Amino acid sequence: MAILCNGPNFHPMNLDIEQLETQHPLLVATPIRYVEMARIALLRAKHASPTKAAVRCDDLSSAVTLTWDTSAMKTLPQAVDQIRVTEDAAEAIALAFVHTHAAWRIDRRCRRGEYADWLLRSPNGKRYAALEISGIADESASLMQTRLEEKSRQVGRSLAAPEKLAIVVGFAGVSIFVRTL
Amino acid sequence: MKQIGDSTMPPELPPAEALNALVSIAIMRAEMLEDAHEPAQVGAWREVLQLETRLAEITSAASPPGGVARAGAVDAALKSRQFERASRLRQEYFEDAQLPKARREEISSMIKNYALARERQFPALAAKGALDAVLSQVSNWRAQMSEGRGIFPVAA
Repeated sequence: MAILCNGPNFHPMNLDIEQLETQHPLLVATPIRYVEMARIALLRAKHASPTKAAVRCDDLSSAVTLTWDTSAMKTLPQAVDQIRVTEDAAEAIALAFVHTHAAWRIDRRCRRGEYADWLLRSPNGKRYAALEISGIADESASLMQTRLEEKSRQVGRSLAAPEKLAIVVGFAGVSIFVRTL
Repeated sequence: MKQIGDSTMPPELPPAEALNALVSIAIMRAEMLEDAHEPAQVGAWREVLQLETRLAEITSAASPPGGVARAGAVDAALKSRQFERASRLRQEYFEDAQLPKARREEISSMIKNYALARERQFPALAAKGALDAVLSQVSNWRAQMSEGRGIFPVAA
């Protein structure tokens, strides 16, 4: 998935979280409300839309603007699994990133033994990539890097697709670290 | 939680994509039940098995989705405690020359590890060579129970 971090395709852009289910129609059917989880995680970290997110994609640095509907959630729900929120919200942002950046879509969910969360498909349907995602609620640059290394090793073992991608999303400052393999 | 078949299911998906959506939901549910150590996980993995085998039928063994579906089917057969079905699927999938070597090794390894775990769990039966026969009977009994023929009559 080298296209993701290369040349003219890698430029500042807008990630509209509300478009997630249009970008990835399969998510409409899943039992997890990814958009809602992203709103919760961003509100929990006291961010307001729009928010700048730092992006490190392999060796390149850039930024994206995250937008979402703040009127849909003004107070934090009490009964939520905080770890689940972080992981599901990271999936929402990572999936919005791969679609907005390279127009890749979800093909299907992978079982845990595949060492990847999702199998992605390119816009022309001819290429596939395995995507592994993780989230950190209160990140530091070193923690992001360490987690990215872990996730890269994990997805590196995946047989799901020849192209592989690890994405780690931090919510305190909002940062997106991407590694393509 | 959204439910399968509710009005939010995208109605316009073509068959392969609809199957991909259904297997994605089924895997998420089975893994949630597995995390919660719920006995219902066995039935949930059985549903994953049905969907993965259908996906395996419509995908090439050499393609990424084909490999994922075939390994997923064998894994789901083992997780729904259908060792014989898993072994039959391995045999069927291995007959396809297009199945990559790495996938063959993975599938063989899954079955071998499951068999070893089973032997450790039931050492006396394994020593007598009766493991397959007894567990097959238990598996059949479980399948009959899950088809609705419960121990107690169901009120009309």
